[in-house]
Amino acid sequence: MTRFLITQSPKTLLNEFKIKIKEKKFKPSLELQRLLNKFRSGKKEGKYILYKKYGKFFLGQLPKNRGEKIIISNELFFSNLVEAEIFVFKKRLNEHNRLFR
Amino acid sequence: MNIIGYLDKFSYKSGEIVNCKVSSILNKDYKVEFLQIIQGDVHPKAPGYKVKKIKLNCFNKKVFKGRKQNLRSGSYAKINIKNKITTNCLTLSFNFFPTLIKDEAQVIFSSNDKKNNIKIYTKKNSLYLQYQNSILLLSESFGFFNWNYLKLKFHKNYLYTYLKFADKEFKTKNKFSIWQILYNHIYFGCSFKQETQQFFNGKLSGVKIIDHSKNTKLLDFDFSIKIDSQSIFDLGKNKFIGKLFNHPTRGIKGPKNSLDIRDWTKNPEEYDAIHFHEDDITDAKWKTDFSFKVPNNIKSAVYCLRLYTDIHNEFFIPLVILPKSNSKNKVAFLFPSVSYLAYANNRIGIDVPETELVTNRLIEINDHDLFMQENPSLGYSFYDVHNDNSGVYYSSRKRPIIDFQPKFIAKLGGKDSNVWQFNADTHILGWFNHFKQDYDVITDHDLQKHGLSIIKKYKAIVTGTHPEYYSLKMLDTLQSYINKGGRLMYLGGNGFYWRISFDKNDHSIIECRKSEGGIRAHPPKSGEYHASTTGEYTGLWRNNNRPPNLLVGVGMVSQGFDYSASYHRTKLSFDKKFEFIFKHIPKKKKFGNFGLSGHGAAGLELDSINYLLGTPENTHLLAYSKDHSDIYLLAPEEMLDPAPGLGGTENEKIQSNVVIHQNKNFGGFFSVGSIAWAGSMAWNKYNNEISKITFNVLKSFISKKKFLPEN
Repeated sequence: MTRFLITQSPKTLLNEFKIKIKEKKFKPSLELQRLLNKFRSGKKEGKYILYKKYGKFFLGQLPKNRGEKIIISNELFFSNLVEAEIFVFKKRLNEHNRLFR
Repeated sequence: MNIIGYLDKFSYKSGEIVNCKVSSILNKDYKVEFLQIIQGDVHPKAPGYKVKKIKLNCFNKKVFKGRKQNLRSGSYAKINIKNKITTNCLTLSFNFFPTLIKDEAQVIFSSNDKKNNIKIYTKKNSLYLQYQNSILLLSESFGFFNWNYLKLKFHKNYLYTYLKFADKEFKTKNKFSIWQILYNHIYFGCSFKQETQQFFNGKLSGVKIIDHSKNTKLLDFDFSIKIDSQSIFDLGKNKFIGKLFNHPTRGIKGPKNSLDIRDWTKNPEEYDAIHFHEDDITDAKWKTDFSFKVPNNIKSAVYCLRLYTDIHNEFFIPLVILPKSNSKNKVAFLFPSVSYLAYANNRIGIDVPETELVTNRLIEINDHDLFMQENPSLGYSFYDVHNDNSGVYYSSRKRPIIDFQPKFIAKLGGKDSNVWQFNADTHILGWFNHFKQDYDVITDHDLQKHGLSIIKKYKAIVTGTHPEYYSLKMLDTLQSYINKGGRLMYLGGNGFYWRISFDKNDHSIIECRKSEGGIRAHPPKSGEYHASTTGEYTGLWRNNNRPPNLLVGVGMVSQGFDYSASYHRTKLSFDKKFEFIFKHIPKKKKFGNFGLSGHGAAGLELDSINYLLGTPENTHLLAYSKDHSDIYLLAPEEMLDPAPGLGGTENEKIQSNVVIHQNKNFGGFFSVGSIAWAGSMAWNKYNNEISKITFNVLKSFISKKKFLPEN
């Protein structure tokens, strides 16, 4: 469910994200921010998180209920936050492809 | 994490005994260190984690025997009865309001002794009675999120059940023989089998037992009596007094709803309900594992006990050592213990999906979060809801608090350090240390207990980064301190925002109901705006005739947790009379474009001047911020009529203000109106303009009779 469609292509937005996420102060365009608001909202269950251990960021997903274990991938990890953000952004682009014309 | 623990107090005097409760989860033996906390932020760009080990013989190389102590949440009432009550014709009745459906039993009423037990419970959508091992289905349905009235008449060998909810009524008759329904112990909200269990999530009211053979009330509990206590009273023949455990919610509406008097102190008879939760916890009731005496020769500071089983498994328990009465220090750091309690075990990263939205970055978690996720019995903060989605109103020191530790990484603390509350405040402790500034430490709890007498001797009081939660006495004390010539350095944002109440019988427990409006995770129900512990009207101090602007010149306007901004100096700030503030600072229009909390000094939560809300005259605006993103939105209490342009890129109200004020008694305040300020103080190992500005003010506050030429 969404109330808007994105006018720019996923590729254009990905390119913008890749550049701006590296900046000290992340200031996306209005359209990119709108897309990010969609990506970053949503229910708790299955939400992507990063688990930091030994200087690495492991991709994980929140469970539905309190008390349940957070699912953390042993294989998907990143050496820095920018890499992780870009990976999750791409993943979410695929998951939300209906937002695009 | 395999070791946790707690103390039941925040502060201690020299010579006082500290009792530490520990759970070594894998029963591993552990060691203890006593450390002074100087700087707890472990981010690589931070000034460096710094503690000072205090040698205490009691901990020297000693290995403590580890044992696991269980965390058991769940609120309930217990009544002990001495005399045996038997009858063959009696009626048990009560009103109940279930708030959570579960596959497991949730016991509303039970009674037991060593051999016998009886309980009435919900399971899924049905209601049951169990006597010994016999289970009887009382009703296949009940009103969920609705008041139900249940009457069970035990007569000869039959049980007559009457259940009413909404406009539905059910009557049944079953062959069911019970000789006795009250045993040595009665429980409301749980059952007992070796330990309390099967907790009820919901409200209960008016528990009565009538003996028809003698036409007497064997039991008649009226929860409207002494709502501000943890006792319940029986108006029946036996006058039993029951005890509540783990603070179920009181001061809430019962099934009666006839009058429109929305205050339990004026209309207690309609507030005759108690809301039990399986996840309430205000006293973990652990046994003490070790005790020690606070040495006499120790200075006032923030310390902690470091418990560790190995280098990877450690747990810190902060505590404050109070100054001696003859302390000559001119500065006191006001340790915001109440705000630490408000955020205790906050689950915002693991329970609240919107956290990623308000930070505009992926949520980072670590082992602390995993532990909190897997151990909800730790209890919650004022930002969390119970499992039945009702708001958390009580928070207690008497349990392990995971986010009250040095090294703790939070969620809302901005890019880089991401520290919050206690660990963010260690940026200020490190700043004192950097400037070799002597200071004492006083906690909120001491302010509540002793009032003005404990702070009046100090030339200046320095707050933490986020002193958000205040009681009336705490607020009165600070206001009185300033009025009488004291100087307050408010080095944070969103301060003095919510009104809290202390449990009168136990100051380790506080209550907060977020009435009317404000930035809040959950609202109290209409008509339930008065604190159960004191009867005080709750909510924002702004709605209680005491906006923070009155005390410190500025008040909350906005929050956002992506990046922080720099400050722009006002023309006024270049006036000669403010030179002492900017001494040795380059004369430029902007400052503070750096920091550990979002790369700017103005950020996270912002306060600004508002004369309509009581900012004192002659409050001088020295600097303001403006470069905020649209992640920053106007606080709801600032938004009377929703209109476009609520974000930081458009709305001019969204700014932090740095202000200074001197009153006629030469007291006053310096307020920065930003949580991120201290993160900038700590930037570049405290060698920067924000750090210097702050120290310039402190130096002047403690050394000058007047810090401004005129008021």
